[in-house]
Amino acid sequence: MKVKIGKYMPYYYAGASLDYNLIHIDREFAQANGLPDIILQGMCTMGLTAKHIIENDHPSKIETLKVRFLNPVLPGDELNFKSEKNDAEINIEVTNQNGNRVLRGQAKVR
Amino acid sequence: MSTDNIIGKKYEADYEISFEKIKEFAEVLGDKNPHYIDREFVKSIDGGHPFAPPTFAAIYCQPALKNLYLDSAFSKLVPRLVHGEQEYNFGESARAGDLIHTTAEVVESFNKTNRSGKVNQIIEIMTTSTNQNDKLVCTATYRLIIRGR
Repeated sequence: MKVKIGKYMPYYYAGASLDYNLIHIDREFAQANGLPDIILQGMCTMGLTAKHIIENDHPSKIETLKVRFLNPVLPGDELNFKSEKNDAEINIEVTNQNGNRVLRGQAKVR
Repeated sequence: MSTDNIIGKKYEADYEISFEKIKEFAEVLGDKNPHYIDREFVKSIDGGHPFAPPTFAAIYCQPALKNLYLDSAFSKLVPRLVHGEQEYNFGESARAGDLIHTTAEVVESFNKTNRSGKVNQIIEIMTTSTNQNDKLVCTATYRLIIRGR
């Protein structure tokens, strides 16, 4: 699954998720705190990861989901979601357009 | 600033899940799974209300976490906070109409030197969420990184 992170995605996700941490919505604040720009909520990347695993199945398919956020995701990034299934365990890796890993995770599915 | 005084302290709050919020959340993620957005489809499965996507947990845990973030021992750290790791263990599915009670607890805080030699503070928070029938819906572990200066 490939997802282009639109310019306004951190704002839309903030509204939907109630995560209004300023590093996601205020560029000046983000840069003053050592970040290159506003960054996407890690939980948004995780939400897209869950979508990638479940597709149109029942959401109870996921028993556990564990992820590690490796690099910040910026507006304009293009994310590539890849997964590998071994029995009930799925390994997930998300990379950006530069081939840098932004998320690594494991899911246990029912 | 020390966070020792918040280790073990519990922060609680309720969140009532609405179908409208589920739809809004699914739309932002571009998720068209009928279990979330199609009321009639879900009714035909078991007669119940639409389901929440698993990571909707971020929303129903939010009010309890907000109480932690507002604690003066923690609020000063928030500008330097980034999300390091996240783990969810799911029980009963969360659905529209559910009243979710969440307890958040800071379980651990320690310093860790990263690859570039900077000392970051790692804070681990655990949440437990139950529904109106006292059934476990989700437990979560948040590993937050407070970036060193």
